[in-house]
Amino acid sequence: MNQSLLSFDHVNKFYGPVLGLSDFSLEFTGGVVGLLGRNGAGKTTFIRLASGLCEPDLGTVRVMGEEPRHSTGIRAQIGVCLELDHFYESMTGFNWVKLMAQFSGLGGAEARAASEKMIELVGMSEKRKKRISSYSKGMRQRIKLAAALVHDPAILLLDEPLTGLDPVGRYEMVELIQELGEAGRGVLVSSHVLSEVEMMTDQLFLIHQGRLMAEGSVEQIRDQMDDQPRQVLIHCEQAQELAEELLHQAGIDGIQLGEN
Amino acid sequence: MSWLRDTYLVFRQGFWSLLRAKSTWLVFAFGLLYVLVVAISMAKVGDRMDQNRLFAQVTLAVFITIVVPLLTTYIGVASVRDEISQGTILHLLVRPVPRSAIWLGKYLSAWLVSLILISIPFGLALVVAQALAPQAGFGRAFLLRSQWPFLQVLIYGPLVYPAIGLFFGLRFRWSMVWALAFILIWEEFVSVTPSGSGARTLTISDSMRTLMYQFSAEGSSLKSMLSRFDLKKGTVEVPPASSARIMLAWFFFLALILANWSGARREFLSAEKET
Repeated sequence: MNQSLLSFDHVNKFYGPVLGLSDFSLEFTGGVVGLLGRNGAGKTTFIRLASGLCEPDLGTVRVMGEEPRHSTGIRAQIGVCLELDHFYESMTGFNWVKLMAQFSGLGGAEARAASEKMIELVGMSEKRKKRISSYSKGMRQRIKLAAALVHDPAILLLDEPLTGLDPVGRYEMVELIQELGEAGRGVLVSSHVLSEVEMMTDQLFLIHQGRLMAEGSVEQIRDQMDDQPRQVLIHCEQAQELAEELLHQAGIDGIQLGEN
Repeated sequence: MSWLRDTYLVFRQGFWSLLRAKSTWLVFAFGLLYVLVVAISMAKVGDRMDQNRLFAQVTLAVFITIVVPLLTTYIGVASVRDEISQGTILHLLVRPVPRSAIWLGKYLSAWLVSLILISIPFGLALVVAQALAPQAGFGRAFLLRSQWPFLQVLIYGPLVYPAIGLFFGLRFRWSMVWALAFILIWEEFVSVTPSGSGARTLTISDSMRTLMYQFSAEGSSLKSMLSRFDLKKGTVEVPPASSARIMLAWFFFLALILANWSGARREFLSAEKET
């Protein structure tokens, strides 16, 4: 049995009256897994709890058996790529990655070498001496990923890593994430777009309104969803007639006609 | 050792960030108003009154009462406020760096920047005063003990006020408003309440004035001015320097402990939510 890299055990998280996560439990053992859910479903709260940025109100979050909020040692095993798009803008990409390497415990020469390597890995070698303020959205995403990887973490948490990337950038990022997973790293990628996640992996955690709705492969989740009621939108010329016909069919709970 | 290393890294990064920030130089420009006031005063009324007394008066009213508290508290708040509002602090918080090392590093950077930013206007004011009133001997006086009372402010101001600014920056969302309220209500208003009430001894300004008084030469114009703050039925009652130092140490440690406590408890949200 695989040892759990990340576990959430009946976690509840509230922001005042707003629900973040509710009775949320999962085990993540490795590979590339997508964290899929609509905006506001709780994906970022999940990443924040897993990276130790905040504490659960109830329940426990453990990374390799330790609580990330209270263990600086275990945070050295986590690489986080936040959705946030702010940096120390006057720094060069290289200096930023090097600083993050130093904050992760690497010494001067070690940090420099690791930064060079990771910047090359994300394809930013040519632009590494440019200021971050001059970077495009795609470059910023890449440099964030290099900073997340620079200390060779065992688990990687990526919050919406494809946001703002052009099609070529997306393709390259997806390839890179797949390679990281194949290299034995645990990678959790959050997204609200199923097609994006499917490009990287077929393993999913499906989050809705702060709860873990389903987990497994896309096929398994679709099978689980067969038991759940679904809304289907149909555009047609003779909506009234179709509605009358459908009402006589089994398995139809209700019909709503639109204005057009 | 790694805690010290982390503190140093945060300090180094924070120091350059503060120096690169436009707002730092805006408040520095505000500090230069003191030099302007010294220049105008010396040029306008310097020939009609004792220049040393005039310099002490302007320094007490403008530099010590307004410039030092506002500028150094602002730098303390700014050392964390921008990082919190932009969310860049999250990049540090997800790293294996203890929060206490982050806050101490930020404090040290605010201390050094404050020290530099208030030393420049004071030095410039002495140069300007010397140029406009060479007979008063400000150039010589700077090297002599007569300027030592003012140096107390340069030493203790950047130590204590940024610690309070850091606490406001970490504790409150509207940190600058809280800091301004603290300076205007507590430091400016309470510090001039009657000495009998005892409340004034709980202000930083009062402790610094006490130290300045203790280190002023007997019969100097600065000493006679400072004594007005503590006159009670014609008798000068000034607390000893030791009690002023203890009070400043209390402020310093209490502010740092509260800042660390606030920073340890606070959950930092994304940039948009913080702003």
